Amino acid sequence: MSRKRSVSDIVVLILLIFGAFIMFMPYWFMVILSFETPEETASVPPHLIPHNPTMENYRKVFIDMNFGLYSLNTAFVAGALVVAQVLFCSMAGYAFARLAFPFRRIIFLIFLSVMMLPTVVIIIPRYLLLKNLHLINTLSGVILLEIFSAFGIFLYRQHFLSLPIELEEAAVVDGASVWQIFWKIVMPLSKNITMSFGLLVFIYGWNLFLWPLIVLTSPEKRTLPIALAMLQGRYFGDWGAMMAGAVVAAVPPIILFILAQKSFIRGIAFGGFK
Amino acid sequence: MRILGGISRKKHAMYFLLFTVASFVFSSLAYYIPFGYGIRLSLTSYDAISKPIFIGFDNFKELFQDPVFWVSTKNSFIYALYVVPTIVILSFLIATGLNKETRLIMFLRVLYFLPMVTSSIAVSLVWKWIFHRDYGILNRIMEFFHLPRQDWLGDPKLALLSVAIVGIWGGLSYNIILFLAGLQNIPKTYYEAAMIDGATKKDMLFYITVPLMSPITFFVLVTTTIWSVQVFDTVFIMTSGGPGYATYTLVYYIYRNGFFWFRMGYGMAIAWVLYGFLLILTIIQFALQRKWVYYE
Repeated sequence: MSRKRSVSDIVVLILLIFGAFIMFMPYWFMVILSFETPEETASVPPHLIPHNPTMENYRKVFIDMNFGLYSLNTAFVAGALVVAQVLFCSMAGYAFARLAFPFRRIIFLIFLSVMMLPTVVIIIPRYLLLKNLHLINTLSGVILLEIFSAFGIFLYRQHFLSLPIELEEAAVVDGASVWQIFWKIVMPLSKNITMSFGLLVFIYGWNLFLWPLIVLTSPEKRTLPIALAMLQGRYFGDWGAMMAGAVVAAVPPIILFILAQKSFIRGIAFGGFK
Repeated sequence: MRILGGISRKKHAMYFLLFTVASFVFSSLAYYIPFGYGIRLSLTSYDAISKPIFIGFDNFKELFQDPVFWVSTKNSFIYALYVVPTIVILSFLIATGLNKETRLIMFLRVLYFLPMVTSSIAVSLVWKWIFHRDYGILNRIMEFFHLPRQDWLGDPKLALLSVAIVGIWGGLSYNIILFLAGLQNIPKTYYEAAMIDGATKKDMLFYITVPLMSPITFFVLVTTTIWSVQVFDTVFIMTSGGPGYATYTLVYYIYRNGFFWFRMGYGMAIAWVLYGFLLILTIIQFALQRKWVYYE
């Protein structure tokens, strides 16, 4: 019985390793092609490791294509989104968890209802609104319409409800204002959730594509995903340069993810089924 | 749920407004205003430069006779048919396999989760190379197994499937995490009790795991459906809707109308139809859930 089980365990393990291999394969080729010369990327059959590794592709994307600037733009968008979403979602989440207001439940449901409205559906009027605000072709324009997150408000509200309210009420007795309670007691107790949520937002902002594609028109404003899409036009068929660009865009979120895996997964699992 | 005690009603209201005012502003800008504006926009002809012209329901009449709209609709749904069942089943199976805490499994998990954090544009470019008719690794593997080479992205019969493969590859991670979280919530005692009663591993899978996981499976089904019908990034990078209209999807067609041909009103009308499709799909799934979802 136990021997039979271990055989099936091994079969499962082999299948899992095979699957993980397929999941990983694109990353492998992304990295090795980025170190190959144009001749080598066009070799048939493709090489599994570069025979004459070169840094030329990275020189191309960073010197000729300004990927340094695009990385900064991307980090700016992602970073600003983290700060704004953490700030505004936590505050609104606290209001819905602890503060009384007429029709509070209905207001909460109206906020949550945007989760039922995919942003692509309203992408054209969003663009026209931004145009009326004269924010087309600005990074602030990209950020402005991405700040509101119903998921974030929901996440923080659920978390605040799980905190012991007696702690906050003791502070009221001691004469603290709601503002002080929120910043001095509640937020310090929310470091884990802020870490998880902030990480999700950063990676979301780093990888945003359709929205900045529409909003940003001039080359110096591009974020990495946009610059990558444009590489296709400029370096058509130059797989080495394209893959070097892809590596630049892919590495920072992967490092963050590996460093803070638990935190990231907690954020997703929470939003997933509550 | 209890509100904070010891504070006057007035203070409550004041702080409530202070804490939510930014959310009111940003949600209006991002959702409510564009939503209202979008309704009006779909009834006009507008190129984003000259004045919009009110044309009533002409955009909607036009799209029902527009063959590209119907091709895009068909492609979006076929794509969803490729992607949704595959993702639901595979991510469930992979999650049950990864539901252990050994070092090797923890390492494998990282590999399975990577696509979720990687730019869809970066991975679409790599997959474009993998599928490349001449240099790509996939045709090399086909040759190795003595199978004919394919023009994965250039053949109208294969292009949508190829894009769907990337969608499946990229969509697994998120759902594996959801299933894993669900599996870890099933009390171990259920399995122990079943073992004492002489249940086999297969019995436990079908009589304990599957029913207890059905609410999460339902959630995964709904979210993956909504997500997959909106496919855009991979199409934009890998095929640009081609060859011909073989990989035109609804979102891609909205994008082309809005930001390529500057037919804002017409693009918006298509967007509303897309929204209608998504709502109908969701309603159908909710209606069917009573038949198979088990709530404790």
